[in-house]
Amino acid sequence: MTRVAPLLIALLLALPARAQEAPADSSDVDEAVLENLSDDEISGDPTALLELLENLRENPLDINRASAADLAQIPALSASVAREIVRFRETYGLFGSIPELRAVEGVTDEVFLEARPYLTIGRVLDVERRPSLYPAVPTLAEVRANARVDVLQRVQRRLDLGRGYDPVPDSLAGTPDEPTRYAGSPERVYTRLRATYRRNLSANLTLEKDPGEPFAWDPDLGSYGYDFVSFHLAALQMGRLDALVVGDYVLEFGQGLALWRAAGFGKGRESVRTLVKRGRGVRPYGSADENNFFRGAAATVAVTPWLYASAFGSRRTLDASILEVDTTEVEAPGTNVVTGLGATGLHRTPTERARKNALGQTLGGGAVEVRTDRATVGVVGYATRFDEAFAPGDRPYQRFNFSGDEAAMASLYANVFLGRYQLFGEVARAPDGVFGGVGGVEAALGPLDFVALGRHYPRDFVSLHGYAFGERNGISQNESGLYLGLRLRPARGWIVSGFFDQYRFPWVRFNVPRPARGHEALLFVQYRPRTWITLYAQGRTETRETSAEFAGPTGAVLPGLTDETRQSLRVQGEYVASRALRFRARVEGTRYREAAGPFATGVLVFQDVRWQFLDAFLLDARLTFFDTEGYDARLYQFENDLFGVFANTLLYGRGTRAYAMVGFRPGGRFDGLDLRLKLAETRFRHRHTVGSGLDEVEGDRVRDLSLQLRYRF
Amino acid sequence: MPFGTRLRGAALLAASLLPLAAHAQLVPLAEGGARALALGRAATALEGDVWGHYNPAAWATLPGRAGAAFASQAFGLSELRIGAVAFAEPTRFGTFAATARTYGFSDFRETSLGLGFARAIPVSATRAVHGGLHLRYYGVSIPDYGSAGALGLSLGAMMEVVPGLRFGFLAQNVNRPGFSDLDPLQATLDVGLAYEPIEEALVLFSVAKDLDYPVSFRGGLEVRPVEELFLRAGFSTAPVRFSSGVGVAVGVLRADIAAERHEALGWTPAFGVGVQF
Repeated sequence: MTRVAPLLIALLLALPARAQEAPADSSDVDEAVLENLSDDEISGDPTALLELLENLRENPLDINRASAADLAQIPALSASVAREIVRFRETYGLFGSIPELRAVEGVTDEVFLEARPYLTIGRVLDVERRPSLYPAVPTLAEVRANARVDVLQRVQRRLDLGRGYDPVPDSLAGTPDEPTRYAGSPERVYTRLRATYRRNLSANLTLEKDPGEPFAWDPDLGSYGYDFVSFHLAALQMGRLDALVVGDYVLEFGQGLALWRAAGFGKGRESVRTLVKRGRGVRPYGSADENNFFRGAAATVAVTPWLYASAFGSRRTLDASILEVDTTEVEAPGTNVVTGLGATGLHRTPTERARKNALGQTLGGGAVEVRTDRATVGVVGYATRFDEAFAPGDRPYQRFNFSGDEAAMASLYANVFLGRYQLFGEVARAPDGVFGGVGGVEAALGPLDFVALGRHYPRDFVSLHGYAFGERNGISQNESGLYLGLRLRPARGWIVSGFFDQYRFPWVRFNVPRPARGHEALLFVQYRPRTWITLYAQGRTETRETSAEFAGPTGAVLPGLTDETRQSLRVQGEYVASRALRFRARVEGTRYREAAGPFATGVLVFQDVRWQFLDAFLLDARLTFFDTEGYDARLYQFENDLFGVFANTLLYGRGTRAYAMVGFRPGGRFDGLDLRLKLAETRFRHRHTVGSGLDEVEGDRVRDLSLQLRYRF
Repeated sequence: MPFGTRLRGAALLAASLLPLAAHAQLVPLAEGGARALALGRAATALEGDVWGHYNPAAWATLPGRAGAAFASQAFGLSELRIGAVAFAEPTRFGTFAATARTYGFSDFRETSLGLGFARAIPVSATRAVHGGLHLRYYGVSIPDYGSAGALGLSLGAMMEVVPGLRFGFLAQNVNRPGFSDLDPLQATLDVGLAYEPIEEALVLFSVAKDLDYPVSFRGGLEVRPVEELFLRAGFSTAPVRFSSGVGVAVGVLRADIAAERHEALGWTPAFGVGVQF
């Protein structure tokens, strides 16, 4: 560790030393990749997915050096295939070129094409000179020569503003009738400064102000101009030091039952490969999600080449609603209780600002992990204390919410490889001694991949920092279910995949007054007759129980359950006319009904063009027509956006959505400079207002403008 | 009285007399040539069409200069008669086109004049993407109420994705023009395919979404039993229509007839002649 500090300092100080390598061409992660990986109604911090993929793209993995665990981070490579690659390398020697990967069992044409952007190959000599058991520690000169700086400035603004931005009338100012207004301007301002050395060192500062938040200097409230500040210094995979992060970090262990960053791939057409989680342990954090990360220090060291030990400590503040307890209760006068945690990270109105950083949390813990060729087995645990106690509320659905001010959780997890099969699982002990678990088997058998996964999260299984697989992705409580996913490659150019998932919620939930059950299925067929043509069809159906009211014998209204069914069918075609020009068209229909009632239907048609012109310019434009009978028949579309921005647009009602994004990368003397501008408009028919509350806009449309400048050197 | 209100007043008046003539938008006009009508209007990826109505990029696929005239009479009602002409001139820079159309009757007349441009954009040594645009001025006049105009822009592209299979799309009136805020002109997004399994047959399919109407699926089939003769049939949903037609091509001369049957409203005959060099 004493060797790392000077390197981190060198990273910060030696930045003016010009990088000797040209920056890799990091074309953005296309929205289709994300769409492949995620559910429509994505949960958690979606930018984490982007960050993972963009990070991989900017720092591609060396197929002659990367470990199986590293390779398995690439979504196209399952853990089994990643292991096959390493085994192939160890048996037959190093790869001479990237296409040689195709010789590895399990690396089909599709897998290869999807994984290719995240792979590189180093000079074979460099690798052969390195017999060490641990990753090499770079020299100061190497860090100086290869350090990269990435400066990103983004401003996004809605052009049609709601009344939250109207001035307060003078006559009402200061009176009890004064209307609520946002404290700040409507721009979202995001600034990120990052310095990195390959995948090994990083220093990051992320600053963000959300729309409606003021620029203010208020250290008590954690506002340093920007409303949100995140910082880290990190060293990864250097000698015995597997990870060291000072500042903001996230923790990923096992299947995410106890600890995982609040992001994950949900159910989708990628029905096998992304289901089994691949914990990366201690990871630096630089996203703008204001709630789901730790702040302090964390480290993982290799005690031996196969035994890793981690320790972490965090002290941070969270957004929370805090209520002073009525003094007639048993608690001492002045006692506060937490009635809820803020999840949005928005601090615009007096109410939201009062919640900001209202609750302190201290957390400490550790992990021990054994990593061998055949298996990864680990234990992880943490104990945490909040400055105030949680009061769960007295509604039935709140009964098993977290209560008190202390929690401790421990879990045992394992991934075991048996040939081309992988067994995986995690069992965790939640506060109050409740056990929950998730586990299953995954296999990559050439033309067939499958995964079978079972989960059991009891109603009183409280996981404060987990994010395990489930119907409600990330809410690992009050759910049991079985999932079976298949992926077939019946012939060259064809992919057939699908899943069936059955689940139940053993306790009532918000707005669902009875224990409920449901099931979901998806079938996806893709045909790619040539590398430049991709056609697919995807059908999806989900039926689950939802709340309904029934008339009782005496005429009283009784809360009960009824089935709701949502189905969709999508057909999409993509044609890559040339390296510079791509077309994509989609037709999608959806329908929804409750019980045996009438279907509400919806349809979406879009045409999308991506055109690279005059070498330095990129145009990405789409026109969408949508027409749905109400919100229940809503549709989603993923959109390309500025680097690092995640756009999954929800569309309902009748209207059009259009966007155009122009990118400019001058190259030459301004190599590393990247400018982006996006203008988007959603326009409705027969609507006089759009949105609700303080964001309600007069008129039939909303427009958004985004600008971004990025410079890497 | 604002024009929109007056126009609606006139439309209501007309509606009471003549339910079908009520409003130009109530029934999409039977325009765009007798060939496309006979093919169920599934012409989004149809090559060599001088009308450019279902895809202005089609102008770029014309082998030479072309001109055509066309008339249709929706549901046999003279009040819903359309007369139209089109001309396209391929040049070194691309194909330039001009269109004109008149629709309606003495008490309600909608006229449109259009200019178009289309060209092939080479994307490799052997492949090209065709792109086109159609700028149209629409004018409506109702005696005693007044007149109004609007300018609409339509964009389209067409490409052969594999030999024999073409894809096309059309964004019609993409700028959302209207005679008033309350009366937008028809705006659609169409995507379509054209497949030529053998040289003498053509299968068309398209999906058309009008902003204000349900999505419409359309299909068409054209066969050429002898060199000079084309037989055509087509269908569409929302509204449900069947259509058929015959075309003759002798030398540079073309003649087409088509008949379209609307599920509820009956027959629409159409006839067109043209020259193509």
